[in-house]
Amino acid sequence: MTHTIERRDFVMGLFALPAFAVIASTARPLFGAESAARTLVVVHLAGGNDGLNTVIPIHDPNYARLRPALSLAARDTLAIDGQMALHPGLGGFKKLYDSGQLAIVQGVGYPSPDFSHFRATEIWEAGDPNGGVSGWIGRFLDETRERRGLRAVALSNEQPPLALASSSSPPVTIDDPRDFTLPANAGMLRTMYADSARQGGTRAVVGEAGLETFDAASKISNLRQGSSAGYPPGELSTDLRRTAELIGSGIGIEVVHLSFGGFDTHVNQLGKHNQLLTQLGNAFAAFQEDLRRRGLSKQVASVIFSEFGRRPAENFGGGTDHGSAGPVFVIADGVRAGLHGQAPSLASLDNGNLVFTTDFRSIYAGLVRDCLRADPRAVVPGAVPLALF
Amino acid sequence: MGSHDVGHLLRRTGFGPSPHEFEAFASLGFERAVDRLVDGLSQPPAPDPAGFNPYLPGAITSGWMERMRSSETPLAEKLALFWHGHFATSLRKVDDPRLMWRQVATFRTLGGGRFSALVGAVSRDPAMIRWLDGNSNRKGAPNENFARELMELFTIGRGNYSERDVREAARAFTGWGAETTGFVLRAEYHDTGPKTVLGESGNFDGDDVVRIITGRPECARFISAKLIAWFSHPDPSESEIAAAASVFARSGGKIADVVRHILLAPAFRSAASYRSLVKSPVEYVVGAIKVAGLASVPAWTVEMPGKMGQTLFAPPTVKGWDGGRAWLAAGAMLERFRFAARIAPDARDAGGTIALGFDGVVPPGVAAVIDRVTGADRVALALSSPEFQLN
Repeated sequence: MTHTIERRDFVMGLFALPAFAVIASTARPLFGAESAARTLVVVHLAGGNDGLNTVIPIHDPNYARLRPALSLAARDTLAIDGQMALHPGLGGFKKLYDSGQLAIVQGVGYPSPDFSHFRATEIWEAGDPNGGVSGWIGRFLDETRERRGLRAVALSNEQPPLALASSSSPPVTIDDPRDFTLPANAGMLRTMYADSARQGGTRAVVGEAGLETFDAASKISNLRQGSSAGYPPGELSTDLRRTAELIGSGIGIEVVHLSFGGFDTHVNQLGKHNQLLTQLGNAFAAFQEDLRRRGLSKQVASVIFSEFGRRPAENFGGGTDHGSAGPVFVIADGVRAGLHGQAPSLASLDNGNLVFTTDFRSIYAGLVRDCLRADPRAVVPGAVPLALF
Repeated sequence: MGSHDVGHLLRRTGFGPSPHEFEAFASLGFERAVDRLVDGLSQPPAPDPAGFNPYLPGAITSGWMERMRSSETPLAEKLALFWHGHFATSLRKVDDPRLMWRQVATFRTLGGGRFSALVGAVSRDPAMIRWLDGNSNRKGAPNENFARELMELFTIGRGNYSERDVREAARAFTGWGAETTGFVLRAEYHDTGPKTVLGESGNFDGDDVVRIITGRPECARFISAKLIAWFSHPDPSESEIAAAASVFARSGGKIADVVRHILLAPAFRSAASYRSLVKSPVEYVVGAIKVAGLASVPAWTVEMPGKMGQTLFAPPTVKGWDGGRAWLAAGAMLERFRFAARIAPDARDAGGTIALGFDGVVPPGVAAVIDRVTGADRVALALSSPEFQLN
């Protein structure tokens, strides 16, 4: 699908720049001479995270008015400035915020938001409000196809995410890297797949997929396992520990894609959301500490998004329904820590939903430029990079 | 017919040959064989086994895999799998395995009949109604989820309708809800006012919308192209689509007639079609169980398609599984090799399994390797080979 740059998108991209950000060209020298390209960890909070109870406009009277049952009291939350506070479960994020490792981009979305999980996820993963068949990471891989290594991995036992769909680099999904080992007959299998790769049609496709698998598995075979000490229990925590092991093995990984589900809190939200955010915060605090121990903290950045936020007004089931804009988090040693962009207004809603203030593509563009060290123009055309580093 | 054609036909119309099926079909001519398979669609499906309980863990997955393995009418199961990927509904939201099982039973029973009747049944299907929010589609506050997917993914495809058509169609389905017991029409929520859908106007309800969209030429083309890519070969040509779509139109949308046409078209038996499709995980696992001559689906294999990226009853999105190259991600490939190594010792007869798996002729690139080993190791390599990943 071709992307046409609409004037509206361009204007929104400009508007997305925080007041204190330096408007920079793609040619400027990037965050200090010591930092080469970083590995980017992309985390999808699947189901639609309730952004309003994550980064909370705690003193806005509209917040308590819209949420008689779900609003949190200021004394229970973790204040980050005079207006905004973090959910009490996010103690791990507060620690990262205080040590200068957490950037929070507020009110992130795109024009004409979609409220379907699938369509909205497709839009985020494609990096295009029209959706599409290639992923934003996939286009980055295509743009930099000369780079070598096992470049992008999804930790999943499902189909590869659309974000990684590329025309040059077959997707690699791994459930557990410690388990990603070659079978005993791998040598003979390789001979068969190499033969198949030399033939035509679908035989070549399956042959190449096999060879790709053997390459990936032999690279991962010297995985530098680490300790799980400090990681809390939970699925995201396990995936982040695996991510640190993969990145630490020095096999050329540039992107790791993770999904952390359960955020579709239509009913009885308070307890469930607290569990999810507690794991999110503590897992990332442990991950950053693990990276520091491995001497990798300056080489890795993480971006955390959800396909949409939830409606400001709570529903009658103690939960919230699908909404629009939400916060995006960027975690790195060396990030421009703090709040970026504007918190969306609770006073002027669009059909009951938040109006976005930062276009998600400006974050992608900033990450492609300053973290993955590539030209963002082919990856997210028309987007103005948000300076996060 | 030759063993090449027998294997090809049974892989495409089912889950590959068992030793017994291979013998039964080898004695038939190709057209007789196609007739037998397609005519099987009008037979009533076998009842569920006594004591079948969809609420037991894994029951619906193992129950369906066992049907795929043992069905006397494999084409009905293959079409049910096609429609499961087409009207892709997930247990993760429906949250009731009995409703998922019922939906697949509908695909099995109606999958070869008139497309309009199938879409009508899907519009009333409780799992679909939960999946695409039919219960919240009410007069004055229509939920467009079902109406949009109905046009975009289920019948005519993107580019053949407007946003207004979606909104108007959603109004026609207002009040079409579901309880755990079944479909309910909630008259107080139904919008009885006039609507205009794809240029036709009237006080439409959901059945009228189904009639209008399934009668469109775009629908005949959309469904025909997808059926050719499922049964015959990827990327069908314009003229192939037009020929199948005209069978669709002439027959009043009878899916069995379109399938028969696709199987009898010259392209189906061409070299370009043979082994041109990547087996989905469930086709791979059930196919291996069948060529190995096993008498039932082993319990440990039930979770294998999920590990390879295809959890039955839980497609990743309403678009279903992408299929093709997407089945061959690295982690999924390793799972295929592990499965092959584990099932190989259970094969009834190593030589017979290998002959059946390769339609009697082991490809040279495979033969050169498997001849270095013996017994179960040979079977493991054969089932892991690139050729065996293809349908």
